[in-house]
Amino acid sequence: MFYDLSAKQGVLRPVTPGYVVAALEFQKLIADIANGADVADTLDAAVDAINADVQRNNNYGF
Amino acid sequence: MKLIPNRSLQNHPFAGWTMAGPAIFLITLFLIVPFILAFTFSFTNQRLISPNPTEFVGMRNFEQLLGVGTLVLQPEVDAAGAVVRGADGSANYPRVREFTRNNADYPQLDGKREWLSWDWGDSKVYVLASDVVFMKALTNTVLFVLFVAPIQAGLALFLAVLINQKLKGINFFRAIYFMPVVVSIVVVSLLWRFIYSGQSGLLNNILGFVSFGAFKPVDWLGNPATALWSILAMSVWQGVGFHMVIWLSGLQTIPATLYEAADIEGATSWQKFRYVTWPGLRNTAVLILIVITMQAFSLFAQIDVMTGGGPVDSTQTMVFQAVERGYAQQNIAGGSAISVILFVLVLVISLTQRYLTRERKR
Repeated sequence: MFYDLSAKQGVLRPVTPGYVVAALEFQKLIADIANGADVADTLDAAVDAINADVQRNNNYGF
Repeated sequence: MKLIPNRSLQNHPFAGWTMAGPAIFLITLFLIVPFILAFTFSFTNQRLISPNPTEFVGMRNFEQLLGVGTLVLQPEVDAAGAVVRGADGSANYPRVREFTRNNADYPQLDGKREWLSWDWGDSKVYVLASDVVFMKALTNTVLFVLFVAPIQAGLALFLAVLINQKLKGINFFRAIYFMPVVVSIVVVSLLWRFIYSGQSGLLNNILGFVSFGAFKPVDWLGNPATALWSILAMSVWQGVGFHMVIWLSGLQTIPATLYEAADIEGATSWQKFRYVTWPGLRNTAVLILIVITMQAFSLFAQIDVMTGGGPVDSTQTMVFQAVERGYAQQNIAGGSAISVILFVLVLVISLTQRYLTRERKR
C-alpha cells in the first residue's frame, strides 16, 4: 500500500546540497503567508535568501 | 651560619604559572579563542560544513546585514492628474517590488525589501533594508531591552522591599518569589506556552472567567501584535526573582540606625524610601541595570521554545538569528557578524550606562 501511495503522491525533494537552507526558507514562507504576510513579498524574500545562499557557496560546485 | 637551600617547589619561578596554567588554558580555549574567532569569521565566508575553502570577503557580511535605503513613492494619478482613491479614500501606490527587483533605474535598491513605511502628505516613504529579518530582530531586541530593564528592575525592587521585613514565615515568600529562577528557562517556556495557548490556555480561561465570558480568546503567541509582549511578560516573571535577591542583599547592607534616625525625625515611609533606601542602593542599582540589559540582549531560549521567531518575524531576536544562521543555515560567517554587531551594541550601551551612573564628585 505504501508503495502505491508513494508512487502516486511522493514528490522528490529538490536535488541540491542547498536543500538545508531552501527547506528552512520554504518552511518560513509558508508559515509567514499563513500568518497573513504579503504573498509576493514573502516569496521574493525566500527567492533572494536561497539565491544568496547559493551564491555564498559558489553555486555548490555546479 | 650556612644557609639551607630551599628545595621547595613553592619558590620556583614557574610555580605560580604552573598553578594558574589550567585555568589560563581553559579560559583561553573557551573564552578568548572563540571571541577572536567570531571577529575573524565575520570578515570571511566561513561555512559550517563545506568543501569550499574559506575566503576573506571584507565587510560584505556587514553590508548585507545593515544595508538600508529609502524610497518615496507618489500615489497613482489618473489622466487629469488627480489622485486615484479607493473606496475608503486611501490612495493607491505602486508596489515596492517593482522598484527593488531588476529595476535598472534603481540599482541601489536591488534585492532590498520593505522594512518600515509611513505616509508623508500624499506620498509614501519606505525604508528598505537588504536584510529585513535581521532589522526586525534588531528592533525587537532593542524594544525588549527598553521595556524589560525598567520593568524587571522596578518589580524586583518592589518585591525586595516587600520581603525585607521581619515577619513570621518571610522565608516562605522569599522562596516562592525565587522559585521561577531555579526552574530551567526551557521548562518555564514550555509551561507558559500552555498558559498562552489560544484554544484553551490558562490565561484565556482566566480572563474569560473574570470578565464573565466577555473576553474573546486571543492566540497570544500566534498573533504578531501580542507575541513579543507575551514573551516579555513571561521573561520578566522568570527573571525577577534573581534580581530581587540582589536588591535584597543591597537593602540589608543599609544600616538600621539610619531608619531609626529617620523615624525619630518623623519621616514618612515614602521619605524613608526616597532619602535613605534609594541612595543606599545606588551601586546595586547600577549593577542590576547593567546585568538586566546584558541578559535581555541575549534573549534566546524563550524564542526558540515558544515561537521560533514566528508569526511573521514579530519575535525574531539577534541571538536567535545568530544561532539560526550559524547552525540551521550553516552560515557561520553570517552568525558571527550578528554576534559582533551585538557585542558592539552591548558594549556601547554598557559604557554609556557606566558613564551616566558614575560617581559624581561634589
